[in-house]
Amino acid sequence: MSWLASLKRNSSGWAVRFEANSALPMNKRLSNYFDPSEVQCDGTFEDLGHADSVVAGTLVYCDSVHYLEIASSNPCVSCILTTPDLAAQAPGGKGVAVSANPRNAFYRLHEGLDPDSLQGETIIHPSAIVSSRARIGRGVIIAERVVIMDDVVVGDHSFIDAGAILGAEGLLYIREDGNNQRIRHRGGLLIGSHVTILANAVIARAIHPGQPTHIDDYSIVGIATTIGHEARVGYNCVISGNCVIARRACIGDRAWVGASAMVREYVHVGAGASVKAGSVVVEDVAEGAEVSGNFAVPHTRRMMQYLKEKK
Amino acid sequence: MTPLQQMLTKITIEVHNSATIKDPADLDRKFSEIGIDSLDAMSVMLEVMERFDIQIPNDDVTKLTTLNELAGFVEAELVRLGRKV
Repeated sequence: MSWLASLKRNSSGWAVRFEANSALPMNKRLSNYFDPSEVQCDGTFEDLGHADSVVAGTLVYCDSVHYLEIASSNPCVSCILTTPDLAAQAPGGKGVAVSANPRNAFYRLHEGLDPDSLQGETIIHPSAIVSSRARIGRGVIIAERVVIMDDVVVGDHSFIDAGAILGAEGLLYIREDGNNQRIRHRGGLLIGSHVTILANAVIARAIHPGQPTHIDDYSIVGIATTIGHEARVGYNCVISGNCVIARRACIGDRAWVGASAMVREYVHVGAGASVKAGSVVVEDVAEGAEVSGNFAVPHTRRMMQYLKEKK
Repeated sequence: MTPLQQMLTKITIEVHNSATIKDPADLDRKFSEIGIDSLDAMSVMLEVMERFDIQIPNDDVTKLTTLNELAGFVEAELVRLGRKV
């Protein structure tokens, strides 16, 4: 059992749900988890998985005819969660439940939690290091070997996974007599509420007080991503793994940044924009635009160029 | 299916042989719903441009989200150019 699971036993809300899930019978019935109006054909499942699962008794979700076909022909799939529209094409012999948004319904089941149950106590792993000058909100989970340095604020219900470093010194220097002289960072880092910071991410604190590096509510920062001083990641963004968001870059609300992308300092990525994996963004990206490549240009143009060169 | 729809289906399967096109209704499904990702969709359009000797402007590429929308574009373009559909 993981440290979190054992700690959950002592907290409210999470503990109740976690233990309830642990006690679930191996053979679960759709009708135990879905409203009768959502169960088109009751069935049993052992666990959840993908449409190409190799584990017998898997419940999968299918939000397209493509995945429905894969799941239908997979003998390991015992139950399918799909849309009312696609349910008519589901094969006989498998349990079928419907939802307007099968993916969300599937992952709600996967979590075994209702949104209301995210109300637990703050849990800090014993190996984590949290500065006495940091402020940690309610319901925050801080995993193994996390380091939270001075002047960091972590909002309610955020999750900081193993090895993440919040409030690190960033790279800033001056030349004095020909030598590099590091400039100490004195500002803070503000992590909003319901933010997810995955393992080994590093986020720098600001140089000056009053203008903190900021990760806004509901945003997700992927594994091993680094974010520079005074960068701002807006509301509900996704910054995938291994990205570099350089100092003072600004990622607009609901923007998506693919794995291993790099956003140059001072660059503004507009709200709702999409930066594809591996991009190197050196100039501002318009609201809602999609860019890719090194240097990043409109995604459609980049793909056409790639496909023509490949031919 | 019309000959044009059949041709586009054939090109799509050539680009991605596990695309799910079993029924005429699948021509109205989004590319992603029939197992075609954005790069595959772009490959289909590039192939269509070559075989039909037409251009699909970059701005239009992202607006064509189903095979029937693509068929409609190709048909209109051939009519505009005074060529046989």
